[in-house]
Amino acid sequence: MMNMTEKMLEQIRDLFEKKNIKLFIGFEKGFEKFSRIPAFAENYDEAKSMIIDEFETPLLAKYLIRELGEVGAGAVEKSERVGILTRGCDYLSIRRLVVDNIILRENLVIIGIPCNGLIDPKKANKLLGEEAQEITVDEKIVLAKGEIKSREINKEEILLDRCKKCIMSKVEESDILLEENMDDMEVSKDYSAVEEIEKLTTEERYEFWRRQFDRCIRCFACRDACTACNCRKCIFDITEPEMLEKTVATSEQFMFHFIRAFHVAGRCTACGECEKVCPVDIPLGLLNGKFKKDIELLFDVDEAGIPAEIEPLGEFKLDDPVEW
Amino acid sequence: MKKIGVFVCWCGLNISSTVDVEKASEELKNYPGVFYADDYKYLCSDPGQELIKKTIVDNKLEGIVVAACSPNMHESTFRAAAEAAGLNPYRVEITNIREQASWVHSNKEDATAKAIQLIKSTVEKVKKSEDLFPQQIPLTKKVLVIGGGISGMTVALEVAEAGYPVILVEKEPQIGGNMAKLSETFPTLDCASCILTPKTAEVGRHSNITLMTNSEVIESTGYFGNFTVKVKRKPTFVDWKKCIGCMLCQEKCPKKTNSDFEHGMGKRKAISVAFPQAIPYRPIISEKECIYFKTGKCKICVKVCPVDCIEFEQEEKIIEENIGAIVVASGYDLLPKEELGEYGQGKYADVIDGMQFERIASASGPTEGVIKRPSDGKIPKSIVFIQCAGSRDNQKGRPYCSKICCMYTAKHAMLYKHQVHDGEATIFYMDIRAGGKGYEEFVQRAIEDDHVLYLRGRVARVYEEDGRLVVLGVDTLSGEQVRIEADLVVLATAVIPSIGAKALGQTLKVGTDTYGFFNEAHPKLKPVESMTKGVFLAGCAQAPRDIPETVSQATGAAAKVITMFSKNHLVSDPQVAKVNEKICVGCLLCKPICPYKAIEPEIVEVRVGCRAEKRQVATINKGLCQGCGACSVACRSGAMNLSGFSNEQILEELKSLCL
Amino acid sequence: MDKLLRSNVSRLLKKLSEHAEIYAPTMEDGVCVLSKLVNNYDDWTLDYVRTTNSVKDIFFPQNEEIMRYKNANNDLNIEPPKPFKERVAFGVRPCDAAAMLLLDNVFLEGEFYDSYYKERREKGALITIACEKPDQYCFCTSFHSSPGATEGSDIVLYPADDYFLVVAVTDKGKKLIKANAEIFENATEKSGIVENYKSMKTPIGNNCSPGELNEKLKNEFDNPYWKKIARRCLGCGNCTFVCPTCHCFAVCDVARGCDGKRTRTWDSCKFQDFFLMAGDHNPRPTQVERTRQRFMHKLNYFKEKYDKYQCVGCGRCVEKCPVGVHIADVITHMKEEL
Repeated sequence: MMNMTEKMLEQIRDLFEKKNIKLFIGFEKGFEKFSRIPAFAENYDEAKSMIIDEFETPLLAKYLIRELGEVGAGAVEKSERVGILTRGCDYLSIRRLVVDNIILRENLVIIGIPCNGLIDPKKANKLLGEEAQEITVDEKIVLAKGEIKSREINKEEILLDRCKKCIMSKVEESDILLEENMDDMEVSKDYSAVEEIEKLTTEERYEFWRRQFDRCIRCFACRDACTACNCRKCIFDITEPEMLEKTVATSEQFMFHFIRAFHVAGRCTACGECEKVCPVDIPLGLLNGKFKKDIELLFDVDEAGIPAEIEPLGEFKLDDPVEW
Repeated sequence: MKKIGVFVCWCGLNISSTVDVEKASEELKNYPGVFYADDYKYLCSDPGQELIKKTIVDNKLEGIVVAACSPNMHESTFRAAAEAAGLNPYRVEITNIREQASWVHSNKEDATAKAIQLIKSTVEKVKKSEDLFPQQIPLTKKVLVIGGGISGMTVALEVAEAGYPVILVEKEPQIGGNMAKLSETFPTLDCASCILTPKTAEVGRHSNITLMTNSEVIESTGYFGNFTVKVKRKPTFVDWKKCIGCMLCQEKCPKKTNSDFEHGMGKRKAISVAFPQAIPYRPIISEKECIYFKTGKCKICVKVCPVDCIEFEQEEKIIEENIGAIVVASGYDLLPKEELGEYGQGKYADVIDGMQFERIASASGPTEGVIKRPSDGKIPKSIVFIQCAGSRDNQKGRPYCSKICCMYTAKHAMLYKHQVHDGEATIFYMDIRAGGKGYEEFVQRAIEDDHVLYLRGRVARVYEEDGRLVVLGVDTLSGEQVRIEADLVVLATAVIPSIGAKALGQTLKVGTDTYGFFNEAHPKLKPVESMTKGVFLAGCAQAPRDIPETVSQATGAAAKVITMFSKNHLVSDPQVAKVNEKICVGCLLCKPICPYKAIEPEIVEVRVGCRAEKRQVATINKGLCQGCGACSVACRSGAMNLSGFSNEQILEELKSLCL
Repeated sequence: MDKLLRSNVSRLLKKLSEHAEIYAPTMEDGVCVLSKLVNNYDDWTLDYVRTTNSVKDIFFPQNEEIMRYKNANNDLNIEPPKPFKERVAFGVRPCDAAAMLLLDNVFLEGEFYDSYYKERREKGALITIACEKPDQYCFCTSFHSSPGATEGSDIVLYPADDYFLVVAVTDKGKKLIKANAEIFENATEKSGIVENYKSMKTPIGNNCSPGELNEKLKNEFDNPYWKKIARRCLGCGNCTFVCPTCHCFAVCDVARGCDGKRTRTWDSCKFQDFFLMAGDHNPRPTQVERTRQRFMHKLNYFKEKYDKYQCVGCGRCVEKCPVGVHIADVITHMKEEL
């Protein structure tokens, strides 16, 4: 039986041979042993290094803006198609871009793969107590071997944080499905971290967020990694009017983080990428989670974050909840 | 930097008693960008305005700030003055230092400091002001009135009399609405049809009114001054142009059925006209009941018709009309008895609602005005009237007062007592609301002259016992339980928006409230305008009300239409949304957020750097946009901006306040 | 040689705080940050490989006010910033200390120097702690440095059992020890601890030592490799902001009515608007030019100018890059290709 990587390569070869795509976006090995980084192939030969496994990867959807949207007519004209390897989280992000009219769905070829969570090699290292040299992933058990030690780890323990909060484990509209979608992953609505913050007094809450935001170095990685942040020109990059001063004062930090959170409120697909890319570990997921929780509660929706034509915050209604 | 002038008004003592206006103008003189600053006793007076004009001209000012009262008071005054002096009026901004500094504070020093800060922030706003120019919008001088009841007819007649064409659309086959069903009217007790018939007749024959009965508005596009609507004309199966109204067909038709017009109190034929005074006096075949439609046989009407006008093959027609304004007068219905479990849920024949009582009390009704009960046609010896049946009841989801029931119940009781002198009329009420000219006297007459028994309290249950209706309630004044055996029970059921009002609202893009009544643009100052420009409201479509109030509001709506039509062009406020196509990403999140449906996508060519790009952006229909700013809030990249309140202006104002 | 008991560190910091601001690695919600200690001098930690922010923050802060002005009644009044306080950075890593020397090149060398930076540097001291356990991102040995290097530090502390071996590198360091002699103890053992640290290899080793790469890169302006890696780059400024050697800044005025201030803030060659000129022209319009600029600056231009590579192998940018853009990868690739 072919493994997933082989199946993918076969499909990519087919797509390039039939001239169905001009570019394929997938993953390849990075400099470090377990790092998996985005890879771009303009022909089959370039794609040969691509790989599918269960190590942490970044999201790929954001690249579609540059590869399809930035040429000027992303949402308007048909163009040569781009193929993309897609998991559930990436799928939601792609939908985000389609709903936001940034790209046309027909300009895409989606190769869908099922996913039941990616593992974080850093967590494995931590549990192992040294840098793992070899990690083998079974269905539920992960075997990590270092130079000295070796240890069996429950996969649950070293899942990426964002995978624990996954709201979409399958790809609903793939053009090519490498393996059947598995059953829906158990989606547990875990807002306990948000609730912890809600319990704080206003002063404590302010102090908590001040501490977090003061750490911010304004690298904008959270914005740059986010697919819901798909403006042509971000409001924070516009100099006239200057919405955000370059000065890194507490007030400006709050301004940036609140406005960012507001701009993705109701549109955030809970992919967790912002939190993952933050170099100073600001818990942005908490902020996004608070919005998600409130929207679900106040607007009576099951799952805020599944992109749709009309979204709770994207509609004019006279009877909107006052609490909002 | 722009040369800005600042004028601080004393407003007599209104401002100067709490704000040191001289200090304010003195301090503003030194503020960057301020070229001229002065204070004056009454800027709104003629010499005050002259001062402004002269200063603008002499100093070649490029923007002015008037620190005075609320912009609602005199913004237009000062803008007009600036325009007369050659300055674009939208470069004039008002700082409200009367309501926002003087009147709300007592400490002069603090109030002065606040006033100065507010003026400075307005100066910052004016620095970013731009010339704005109103746009001329073409106008179709034709009005569509939806609903042919008393309110719709009033509007139609007023506008038609002013010389403008009117299209009156009514979903029933005849006009007259609910008022045509009434017996007498309070508080004068004159007969409803006697005062209504001249009106319906006039509507029917007015050369400026095109009557479309048996029709419904199904689509509306465009914007104020320039709507295009589609009207569905349902088939009548009778060629009304040929028909002479002899009604032989109705006489000979073998099929009898319940009449909607009589609210189940009387019968009609399968081909019929609702009532003898109906306008247009033309019959209509009910497809549901007609024997021919069911079996393919009968055709008696065809045989008896002297002018050969029966057309079984008639189909519905869609008519498209260009119009300039719309008046919604879709009226009301009554809450179905079936929703009131405690009053028998509609299962007792002798528990009827107010409108049914009107029919049996009407001289032209099924009983020819003799009050008989529906079950056996006997004259009731005891009637219990129950007010607030469904109204003022949170549990029924209708916490509002239906407004007309207190009066019509008193009228019903009175009419009954005038007919059946020994009969007993009992009214259960929560409060008597008789606000209106002659209303309180009318109720007193019912109590004192006609000996109607008023009991304060709610009825807990109405049920049948040994073939008689029993009403169980509490008299809250005596605290005693009351049990009354009644021959007839009349429920003053809640007034609800006419069925289909919500759907009509969606068609017209006009908001309705939780209950389905149409929303006015402002509860006090714009009661006849809807939130959508060019769509006006009249009568019970907006809220429950009685006839005189309906007629006044309808006349008001007509006046609004006539005012609108009195000009050759419409002038749109330039303070509307504007799209920066360079930044707009074309996500169109703004589109569903716009309450006025003023945003549509457009494909444009935009120059970016050295290349031209073709892409989708949002565009604003300046005619539809009301400048509410919802889109500009929703736009993440700030591509959507409200002229006159741009992001830049607001930000500058804020920055200067947060120094 | 002196030694400093681990249990005496807090005492030392407290003592130093009498006339200086103290910066030390502290844990803040699970993140190790080099931050200012106020009152609580026990808050320092040793549980880190590298602090999230580098020591650059202390001498060249992300945001600094360079003057305030008032313009009332057309009377311009300029107010310079307050004089800086003495400052001691404790727990710096050798790579970060070495990076300060690169910043010195930029800000202090030549005819014009940066007075704000100069004042901070003169009033600052670096107490470095040698690295016990470099991680997979570390590659200082590729840049002629090591987990025990002393370049740039005033004092280096070498961790041993329950104490640190103390090596004073500069006069400033010696004075500091002398002034606080009562806290230090004499170290008698002369084991090879220091040498061990100095010869320790980082996991990446010196495989990615650039050698004479700068010469070769001179002709590689149009190498397609730049496009390949730039395609991955998201354009966040993360790598440049965590870098202890990146030093680009912007100066901006914030004016409010009559008052205003002029501030200097970090800027990044990774940002789209960094190169934006009046008239909307952008000489580095895409991520390709910007990515090339970053690496060329570090591996070519800087070396040309100061005869040093502008990288110390601290590993922050490679750890923090969300999409695996890796300077060691660039160096190895270029060395192989050219």
